[in-house]
Amino acid sequence: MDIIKIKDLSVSYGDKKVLNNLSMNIEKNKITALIGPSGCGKSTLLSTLNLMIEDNGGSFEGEILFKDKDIRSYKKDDIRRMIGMVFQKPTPFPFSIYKNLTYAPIYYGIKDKNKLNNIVESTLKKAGLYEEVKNDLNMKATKLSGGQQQRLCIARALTVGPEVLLLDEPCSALDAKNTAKIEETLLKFSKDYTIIIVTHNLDQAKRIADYTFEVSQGTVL
Amino acid sequence: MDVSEKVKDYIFKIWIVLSTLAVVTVVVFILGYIFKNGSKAINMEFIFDNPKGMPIGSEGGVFPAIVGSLFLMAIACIFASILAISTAIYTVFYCKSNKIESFIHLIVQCMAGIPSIVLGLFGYTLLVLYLRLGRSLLSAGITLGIMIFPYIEVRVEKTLREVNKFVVDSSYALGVSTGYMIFKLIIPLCRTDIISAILLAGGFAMGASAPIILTGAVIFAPIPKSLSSPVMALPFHLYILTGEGISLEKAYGTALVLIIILLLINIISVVLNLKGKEYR
Repeated sequence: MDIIKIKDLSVSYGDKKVLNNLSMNIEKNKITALIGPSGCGKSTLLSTLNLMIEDNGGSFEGEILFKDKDIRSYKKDDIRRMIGMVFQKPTPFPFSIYKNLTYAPIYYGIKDKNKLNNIVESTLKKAGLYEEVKNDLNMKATKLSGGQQQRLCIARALTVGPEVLLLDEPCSALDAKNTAKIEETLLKFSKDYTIIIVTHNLDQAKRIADYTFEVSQGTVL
Repeated sequence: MDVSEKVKDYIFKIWIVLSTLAVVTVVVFILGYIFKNGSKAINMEFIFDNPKGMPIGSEGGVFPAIVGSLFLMAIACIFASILAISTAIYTVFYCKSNKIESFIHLIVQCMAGIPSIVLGLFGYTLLVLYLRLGRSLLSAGITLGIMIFPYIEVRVEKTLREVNKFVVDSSYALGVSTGYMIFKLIIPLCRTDIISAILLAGGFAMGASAPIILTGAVIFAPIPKSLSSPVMALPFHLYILTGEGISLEKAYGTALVLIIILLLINIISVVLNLKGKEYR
């Protein structure tokens, strides 16, 4: 089943067209890798899928269907809750690990301490970070290593229960060991989440992706 | 690099060092001079007693003026920071139109350029006469608040813009609202910088006399009991002591007290500012 269907998508920043008539489908609970030369619009495509593009001053034409409904018919908040995103550089909030993970759930109305604790524990476990930090949940997140920070950001994206996870070159700032850990984590995800990952690393795409999509040519490899 | 470029470079360096030295010397001289002349007047009685004697101020101390100045600063800071932080948040996170943003910047800059005595006149007309607040702590505090508003706004806006864009985007990507992000993420993140900006502006307000001459400062008043009481303030007291030729010694003492308080405020502000930098 295709969870996201993109048809004749064109994205532009002002007069500058970044993507032109792109069509592709994203299959549910699979890992799709987006590759291509830098500047070809991989990251732009990602930020269009959760409507971040509009906040950054861009606009798009064409059709994006999420679960067979036009993406623009959803509320922005809802789209972002269902389609999470992890950025290139780790961006932990300068609070404790615990507060990083409860930031969004509290916004969505979860006040119960036990529920919050459960969310923290389960998302950390999913992101493969729980064993390393279970005794230091009140430690400042910025004190974690780069790889740990990135896994925390993945855990944070999971706290709102998304169905799709967008990752924009999540390993570009990390060494081989941390990259391997994140790849391992992502492979485990595919039974629960649909993953779209931008990477400049063809080997990485081969290692983890079910489908690899060359954005500049608009073709599936 | 050829010889003439080297010479130019050398002369330029000397010029820069000399300029810096000149400024530092002047500041050290002023501070030293006030410390030397003011320290004779300062003792426990001077700090903790009311002004006395005839004409008033020729004996006794400046306690009501110290307290009055601190009250004025507090009211000015509260009034100005509520408006300034709101304006800064609006321009950075909500305003989508470049034209409106430029317009706000223009207004803020114009406000910073208004001479403080004109602000005093404005405060006198609007607050003292028209709104009938009288010559009071509140009128003077609000007038000072209008004066420091642009300084706080500019610095808070700069702080908000310096927040890492990816952190802001990460918050948006979680679907939370801008308001929630501002209260739970941005303000806590910028808190020390914002307090530092407010304190620095507060120090500026405390040292100003022009805006309060017409709006609330008086030659003698006890410690104000309410917002509608008139107040004494250190800079105005200093002005009276010197201007009326009451006591030059007491005037230097008053100046020293004022400068010590301002130095303390500025040091706290700088320390907070350095602490705030950790997070970025």
